[in-house]
Amino acid sequence: MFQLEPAPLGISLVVLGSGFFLLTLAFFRAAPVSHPRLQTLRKIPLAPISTHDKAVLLIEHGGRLVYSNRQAHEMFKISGKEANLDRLARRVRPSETFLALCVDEGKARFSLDGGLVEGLSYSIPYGSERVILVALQQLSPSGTDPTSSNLTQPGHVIEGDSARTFFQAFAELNRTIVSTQELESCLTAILECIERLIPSDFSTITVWDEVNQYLIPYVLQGIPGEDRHLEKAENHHGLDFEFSGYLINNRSPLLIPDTQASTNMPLTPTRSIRSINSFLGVPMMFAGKLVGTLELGSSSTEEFNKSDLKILRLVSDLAAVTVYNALTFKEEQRYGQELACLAQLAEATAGLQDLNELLTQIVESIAPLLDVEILGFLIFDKTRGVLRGQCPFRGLPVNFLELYQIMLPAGSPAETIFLNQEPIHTTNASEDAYLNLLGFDHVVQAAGIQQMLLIPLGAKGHPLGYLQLANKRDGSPFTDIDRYLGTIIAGQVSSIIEDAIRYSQTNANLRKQNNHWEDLEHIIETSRSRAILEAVAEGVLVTDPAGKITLFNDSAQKILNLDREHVHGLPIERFSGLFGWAAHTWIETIHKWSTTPPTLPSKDTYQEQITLEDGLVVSVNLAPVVFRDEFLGTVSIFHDITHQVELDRMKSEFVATVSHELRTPMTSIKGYVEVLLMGAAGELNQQQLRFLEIIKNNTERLTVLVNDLLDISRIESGRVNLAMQPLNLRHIAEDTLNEFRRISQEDNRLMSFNLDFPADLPRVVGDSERVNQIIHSLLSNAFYYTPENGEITLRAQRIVDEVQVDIQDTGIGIPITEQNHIFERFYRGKNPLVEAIPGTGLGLSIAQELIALHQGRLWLQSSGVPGEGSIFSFTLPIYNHNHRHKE
Amino acid sequence: MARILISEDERDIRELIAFTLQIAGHEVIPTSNGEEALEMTVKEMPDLIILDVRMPRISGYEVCKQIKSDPGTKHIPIVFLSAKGQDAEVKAGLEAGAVEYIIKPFSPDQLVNQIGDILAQQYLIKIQVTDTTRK
Repeated sequence: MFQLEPAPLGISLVVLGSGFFLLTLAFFRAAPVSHPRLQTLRKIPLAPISTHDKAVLLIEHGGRLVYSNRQAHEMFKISGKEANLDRLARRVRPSETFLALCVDEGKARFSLDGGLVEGLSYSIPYGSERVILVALQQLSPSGTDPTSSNLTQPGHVIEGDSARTFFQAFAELNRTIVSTQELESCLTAILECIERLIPSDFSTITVWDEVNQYLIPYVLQGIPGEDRHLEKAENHHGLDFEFSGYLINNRSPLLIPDTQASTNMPLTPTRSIRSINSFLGVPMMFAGKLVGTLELGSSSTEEFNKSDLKILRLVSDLAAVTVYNALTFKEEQRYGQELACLAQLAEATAGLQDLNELLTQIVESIAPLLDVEILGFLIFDKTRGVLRGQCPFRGLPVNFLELYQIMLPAGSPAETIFLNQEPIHTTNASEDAYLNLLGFDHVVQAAGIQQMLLIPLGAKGHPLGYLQLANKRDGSPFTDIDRYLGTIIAGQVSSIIEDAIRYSQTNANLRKQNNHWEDLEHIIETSRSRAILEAVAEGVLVTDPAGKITLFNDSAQKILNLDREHVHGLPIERFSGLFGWAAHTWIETIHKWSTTPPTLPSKDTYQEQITLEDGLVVSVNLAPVVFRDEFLGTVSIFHDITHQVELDRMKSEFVATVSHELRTPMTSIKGYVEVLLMGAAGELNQQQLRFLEIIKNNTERLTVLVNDLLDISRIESGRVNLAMQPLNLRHIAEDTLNEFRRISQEDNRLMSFNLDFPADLPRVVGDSERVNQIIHSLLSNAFYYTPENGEITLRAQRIVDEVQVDIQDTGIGIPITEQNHIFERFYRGKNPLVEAIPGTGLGLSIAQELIALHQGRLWLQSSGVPGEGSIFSFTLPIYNHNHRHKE
Repeated sequence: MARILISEDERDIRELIAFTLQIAGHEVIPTSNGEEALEMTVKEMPDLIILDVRMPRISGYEVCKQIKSDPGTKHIPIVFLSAKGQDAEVKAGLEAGAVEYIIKPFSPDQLVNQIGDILAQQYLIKIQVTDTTRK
C-alpha cells in the first residue's frame, strides 16, 4: 500500500487542511473551473500550491477537476480555462493509468507528450467529503529528446505501467472476442478497448459492406464506465467519404495532427469533419480483405501521435480478425436461420388447404427471416379485378386490411404492371411513380411506407398477387439478399397459395357434389369406424378404387401373418405371391374391379377358400364398395376356417366310416334273413316266416336310415356334387313308376298309376341320379301313404322356363297344422297310419334340399281330409343354351 | 353253371355270398384278401369275380386293375360288392374295369339275378364269338 509522504511535496497538509476548510461551500458549489468564485479562492492560502514546482490537480469525488496549478497547465499544454480531467487524460498514455490515479490514492508513471511523468495521489479529508490531490513530476523531458525516452521509439511504444494497462485492455478485448461471436458485442469491446488506450472526442469503428460497397459506422453512446450501448450510424460511408474514403482506397493508416494546417489533406473537409482538428485512422484488414476501419477524431489539434498510431494498428489487427469472424458467423447464422425458416415454412404449410390458416402459417414462418415492419400477401381476385391485402398482415391492423384493396381495371396501366410480374422495389414509396400508377399511393400514405418490396406470386405462369415487404426495422433499404430471399419464398408459397385459393373457391361446390370417395375415406378414417373395424374378429382389408390397400385391421394382420406397415398403401397385386396361387382369383377380381368398376347396382361378390403356405385355411369374402352409384373400392373379409375345415373333414370321415361299419353287419343280417326266407336253409313254418319277414323289413328301414343319414351329412357339408346334364323327365318318371307298379304287384297292394306327361315336354337340367332319388322319394311317400286301390298320378307341365312335376295321390293327406313341419328333419306325422309305415322322417327334407340345389322349389297341397290325398309339386329349370355354356 | 371267385375279408358275408351262389348252382372259389384273389384268379381262371372294395393290403380296385391289365385274365367279368356307396366310389370301381357295382347290404335273391344276367351276357358274347368263328 502506498504510504502518505507529505514531505517530498513540500506542502503542509495542516495549512492545506485549514485552507480547504475555509473553502468548503465554495468548492461544492464550484461549477466550471473558470467560475469567478474559484478565482477568488486562489488568493487565499492556496497560493503556495499554485506556485509549487510540481503540477498539482485537485479532483472532487465524481471526477470533477476543481483545481489545477500553473505547472499543471504547462505540463499538459492547456490553458486554465480548458482544463478538465477528460482533456488532461487524453494527453496521457495510458490515460487510464492517469485516471486511476485521479480517483484513488496511489503512485503511477505514464507518458505525456513523449516524456515520462510520475504521479502521486492523496485522498484528503474535506468536510464530510474527501478530495484527491494529484501531484505530478516530470521524470524525463517530453518528446524533443529522444534519447531520454523510449516511448517514441518503434518497438518500445509502451513500458512500465502503461504497458501493463495496454496489455490489460488488450487481454480484456481478447477475452470478449473469445467469449462471443456476436458482431455488436465484438464492436463494443473493440471500441471500449480503444477508448481506454487512446482517448479521443470521436471514436468510430466501421464495418465494410462488400455487397453495397460502403462502410457502416458504429459508435458507443452513453457514459463511459456505465451504461454503454453500441449505435449503428444512419449514414454509410462511401468510397469517396472523407478520411474513411482515404483509408479504404489506400489501405493505409492516416494520422493528421492538425486538419486545418495540413497541406497534404487527402480531402477537402466537409461540414461533418469541420469540427475535427486532428484525426487518426487505420483500415482493418484480414487476409488481404478489407474488414472496416478504426477512426479517432479530436476537436483539439495534435491530439494523436505516432505511438497512438502504433497502438491503434496493434488493436486493428486483432479487431480485423474479430470483426471478420463475427461477420462470417452472422452470415452463417442468417443462412442457417433462412434454411430453418424455409424448412419450417414447407412443413407448416404442407396439407393446409384453408387460405387464412395457410397465410397465417406462412407469415409466421417468414417474419423472422425478413426484419421488416410490414409483411403480408396481396391476392388478386380475378372476378372483381382487385388486389386484396390478406389477413393476417404484419404491421397492418385488421380494419385497415378491409380497405386494403387495389383496383386493377382491365386494360389499365395498373393491370399491365401487375400482369408483367416484375418485382417492384422502391426506397421512396410516397414519390414512386410506378407505385402511384399501380394505385398504391393511398396505402403508402396511410401505412407510412418508405421502402417497399413487392415480389410477384405466380403459379404456372399466371399471376396470383404479391408478397409485400415494407420498412426494414433498421431503416436500411432492401438489399439484393432481401430480394433474393423474397423471391425464394414467393416461389415456394405460390403454388400452395394457389391450391388454397382454388380449394376455397371450389370448396362449397365440392361439398354439394357429394364427393363419395372422400366420404368413404372419411368414414374409414374416423376413429370410431376404425375402432369398430379393428375390433372385428374377422380380418378386414379395404382397397381404394385404384386397388391400393387403405385398411388392414388387427385380425387381418394375425390371420394373414402380415404387418400392417408392410401392406398399407401398396397395390393388392403386390401380395399375390404371398398368398399363393389359391388367392390368385381373389386378387384378380379386385384388380378387375379396380380397372373396370362393376356396373350398378352390383351384387357381385366373390367367395373363396384360400390355403396359405403355413397350412392355414382362410375364407375370403370380397365385395365391391359402391356408394351412390360410385365405385369406392373393395372390402375383403378374412376368416380363419382352418379349424372348421379340419372338423368337417373329420366329420365326413366319421360318417363314411360309420356308415360302412353299419352296412357290413346289416349286409349279414339282411342276407341271411333273405336266404332263410328263400327256404335255402330248409323248410320254415308260417310263424318262422312271419318273424323273418319282420327282421327283413326292419333291416330295410335301417338301410334307408343309413343312406338318408349319409345324404344329410353330404348336403350339410356341401359336398353333394351334382353332375348337371340335360334330362328327359319322362324317362325317369316312367322308370320309377314302373318300379312301384312292380312293388305294388309284389306286395299285392293294387294301385292305379297314371303318367300325364306332354310329348313336347322340354328337357330339364339336373343330376340324373339325384332327380331319380327325388321322384323316387316323393312317389314312395305317395305309394306308402295311400291305401290299397288308391290312385297315383304323375303329371308334368312347362311353366315359363321351368318344368313343374306334380305327384298326386288319394292317400291319407296331411293335416294343415302339420304342413309347416313336413319338411323338417325327422318329422313324422302324428297320424297312427303314418306311424305304422316305416320311415325316418328324412326323405322330404333331403328331397327339398336336393331340389334347392337344382334351383327348384318343392311344395305341397293337401286339404288334410283323408281320401282327398295330397299333391307334392316341384320344379326344375329347363335346359337351355346358357346351361350348355356353364358346362 | 359257372365258376365264381369271391374275395371278401368279412367271413360272414363271404359265406353268405358263397352259400347264395352255391344254392343258385354256381361253383364258388372263396378268397379273403386281394393277394389271394389275384393268385387264385390266375390259377383257377373263374368265369366271374366278385370283389369287395375295402380289403387289407390290396384294395379291390387294385385287384380289378391288375386282372384287367393281364391279357390272360382281362376277359373275366368283375363285379364289386361293397359297403362303400358314394358316387365317387362307384365311379372308381367302374373305371377300374368292373361290369357292375353292387352296394351292400344286398339282397341275395337280387345278387343271384344280377350275376345270372352278367353270366348270360358273357355267354351270349361267347356264343356270338364262336358263331362268327364258325362262319
